[in-house]
Amino acid sequence: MSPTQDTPTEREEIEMLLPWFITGKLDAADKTRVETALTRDPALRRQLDLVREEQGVTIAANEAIGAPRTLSVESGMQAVAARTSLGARQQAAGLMDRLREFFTLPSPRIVQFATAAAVAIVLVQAVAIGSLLTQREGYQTASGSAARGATVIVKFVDDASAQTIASTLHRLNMSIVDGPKPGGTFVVRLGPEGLSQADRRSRIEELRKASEVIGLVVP
Amino acid sequence: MSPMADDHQLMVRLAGGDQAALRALMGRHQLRIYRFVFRRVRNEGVAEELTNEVFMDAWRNAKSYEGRSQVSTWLMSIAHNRAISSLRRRREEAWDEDKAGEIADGGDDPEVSLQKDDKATALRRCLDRLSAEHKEIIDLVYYQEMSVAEVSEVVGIPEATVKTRMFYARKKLSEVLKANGIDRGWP
Repeated sequence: MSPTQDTPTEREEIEMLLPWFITGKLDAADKTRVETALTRDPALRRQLDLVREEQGVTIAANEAIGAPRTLSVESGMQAVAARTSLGARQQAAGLMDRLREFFTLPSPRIVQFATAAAVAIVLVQAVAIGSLLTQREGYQTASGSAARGATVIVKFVDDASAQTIASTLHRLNMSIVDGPKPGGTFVVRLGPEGLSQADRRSRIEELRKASEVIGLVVP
Repeated sequence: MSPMADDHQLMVRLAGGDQAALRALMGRHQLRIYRFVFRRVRNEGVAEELTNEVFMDAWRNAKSYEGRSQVSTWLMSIAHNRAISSLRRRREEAWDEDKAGEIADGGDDPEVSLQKDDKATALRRCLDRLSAEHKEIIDLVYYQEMSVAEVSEVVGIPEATVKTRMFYARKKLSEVLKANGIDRGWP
């Protein structure tokens, strides 16, 4: 067999079609061609067994891949909402830049200004997200009460960068769902609604341990 | 209504900005896409991020979906491109057929490992040693159960190339098995 030839022979064509014959993805004409060839060619029938074997192993290899704990429709929707709102933020002059300013500029006056700017942008975000939420069947973003889950109020240390904060929260599998609020605090989602008291305490402890980023946690 | 027709309706709703439609699409396709991407990038976090990006692209580009292909094919095509871009960025794996048989599993020498395995396990180990291109086409055909035309659309190669690439993937698998002491009698 040498399918590198410009025109494969009929047998070579049949041989190449076997995987799709097994998966039932051939059109009627090709299916008939393969069936006819199989009735008169024992070597092709043996090869069909190999194809079945390959298919079984491939399915098993794929099915063995479990979804990570964090992969869910809910997390996917949050990711899309975040990126969509990110786009809105970028159009509104870039929240990340403003957040960086917020976390790096020491002057209380400038911090107040940055806080006000960030609040304004969050409002823009809220409008953008809200417009998506008015669709039927009611998807709720992270700021919606159902998706918001168990939360705490957090104040980040003054010199923490936005990037450090983002990576810390990602590592802890937590996210900011609201803020900045007056006083420079944020609402951070610890986990799903109904988190047990023990889990909640444990998550709060994890947050507090990240003292290079977290200045204050209000349970 | 068939799942395909359902998917098309969901795309129409998605194009109209209906987030519930996006949620429904995710519920149907998220895990399969994750598995497809994971098999390419071999990293849970990256695969999850790329899976999310596939649905972000779907959300943003729903209006460009013309309904000529199945929604699953369209999504898988986005996933394929996302995975390739990610691999190129990470430079962890060359998109190169010559790598077949070169990837070490760690632990035992491959031949010793294969001798310890039953045939199915040996086959699986050898599948993992194929090149990225070959693993991808085998997954698309055997697991995602895509037709020649659908694979052609996802991977962006002519249908004739889909058939020959699949043939050579299978042939390479047999060669890797044979090199490790398992002769399947083909080719």
